[in-house]
Amino acid sequence: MISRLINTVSRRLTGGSETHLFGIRSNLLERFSRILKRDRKAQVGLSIVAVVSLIAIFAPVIAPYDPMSQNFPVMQPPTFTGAHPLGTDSFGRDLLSRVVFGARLSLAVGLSAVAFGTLIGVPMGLYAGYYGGWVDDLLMRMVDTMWAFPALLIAILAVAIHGQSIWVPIFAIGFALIDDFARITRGEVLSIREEEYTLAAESIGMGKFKIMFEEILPNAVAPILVQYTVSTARAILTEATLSFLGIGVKITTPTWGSLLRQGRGFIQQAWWISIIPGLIIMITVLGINLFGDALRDAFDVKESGGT
Amino acid sequence: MNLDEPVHVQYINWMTDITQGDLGTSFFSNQPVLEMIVGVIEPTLSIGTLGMLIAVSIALPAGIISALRRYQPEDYVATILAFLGLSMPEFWIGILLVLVFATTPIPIYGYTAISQGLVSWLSHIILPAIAVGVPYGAILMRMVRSSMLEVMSEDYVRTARAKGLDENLVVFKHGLQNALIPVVTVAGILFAVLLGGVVAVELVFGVSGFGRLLIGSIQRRDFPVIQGSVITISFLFVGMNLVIDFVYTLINPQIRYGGES
Repeated sequence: MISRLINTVSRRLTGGSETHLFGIRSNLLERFSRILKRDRKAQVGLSIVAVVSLIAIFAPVIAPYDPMSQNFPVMQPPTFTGAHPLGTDSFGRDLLSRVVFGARLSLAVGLSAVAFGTLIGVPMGLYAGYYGGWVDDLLMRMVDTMWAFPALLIAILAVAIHGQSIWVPIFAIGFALIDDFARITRGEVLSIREEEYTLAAESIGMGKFKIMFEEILPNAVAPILVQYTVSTARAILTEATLSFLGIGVKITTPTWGSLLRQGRGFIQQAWWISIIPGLIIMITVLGINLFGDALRDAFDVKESGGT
Repeated sequence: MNLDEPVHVQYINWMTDITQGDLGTSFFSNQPVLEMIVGVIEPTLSIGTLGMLIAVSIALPAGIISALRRYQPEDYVATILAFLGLSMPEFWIGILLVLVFATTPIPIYGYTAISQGLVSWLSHIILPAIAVGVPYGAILMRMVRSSMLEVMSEDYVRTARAKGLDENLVVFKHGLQNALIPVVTVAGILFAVLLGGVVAVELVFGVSGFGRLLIGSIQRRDFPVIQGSVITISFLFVGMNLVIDFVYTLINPQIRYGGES
């Protein structure tokens, strides 16, 4: 089922058949590459995202040292050249290596959390929007309830029950994102449900499940994609906050948030332990935000503020 | 504790206590939880409120100017600043502010109650409030901008201009008043973001507020306090959204509750 869905989506994206978004026949990928050619925002955003992703993927190759090894002088200021370009932390660990490995975990947490929110939220929105009636009422009331639980609250509960681990921010952030995805998908489905091609699929007796996942979902992809990028940016920030508060990953897990937490006690003596990871977070999130905004322009999606 | 009772009985007991204003007693300090929370809520609410004021007073003018001067230098500057603002964690802005203001008379640590003098109170909460308000203001500014852009291309705005109304009147009465409705909705949703931000920022500035209590009790596994804090946050969150609903009726007379449509 999933592979068929991916096939359908990629066929729509790559021009196997045209999409029918917003009443205009156009092609998502074509629109996107056109925006990428002339929109400075998209170029900058995509480059930042690409560089950070590459750093994350090739972390063991790029990092000069083991991020856990404590064999260096303690709290050396950054020199931007030499043995420790970004200095060392309060335990004598190389900050550059820790930031590089942090990219891996922070991106992984962010992407997993958003994937969690999407995988539950999008089907909820699809069923609610397509079936309508009591299914819609039931699912959307559930979504309304979830909305009253911000990530911070869920993280507190998860930490109180489960203790600190990398799953806590993934679960907490992901859970808090479900309602955004459900609402956006439902809104999109409500209009696509009335399109001719959906009616045509219904009239030839296509199954409801097939209609939802092969006719409606591929055409609702644009706003979901925009929400996906914006949510990833937000998720990375939230992970940083949760780990900084000590209700995210264990302090021994080097995400950008936990690096900031370690710097907390040394702001006056060693500013770089706190400033550098924060700067990296800012650049990464900025890149994702710029990219998301370019996508929003490209796909002509309204700003919802659902961050 | 009544841990020998079945779970549902414990739950009913707990709920009964809550409705009577009894959130239990701390494992750690043996103080009533409600008393502890009331004792630390003032700095948190002060920072949160001032942060929100700062956010709104950045977002409204910047958003309006950005929308009216679309694709001109003012808009680009505002947009770049907004993107920077919403890409930084609140507490990290706090750390930057601590470093910058470390050698100035503005205190970077602690909190003094409003009853001990307004100036001292304000000087203690201004930096945490800026840290919280900046990202929040950036998000709101983007909202104001897109909402204003949409409203300003409506027919009734063109009509207002066509009949020769003063441009200020068009922008503020026909434009802004309608543009604010979605912005207010988002402001309500973002209250959760702001709250999380205050909790983290308090740690940076050494303010012994609600965030400190919350994080401390998680570390001490002081469950009654954690439970009580969670209830308090949800209460603030839901209460805030109720306030937002009332604000709707103020800015848009078309929205009425419980009456004729």
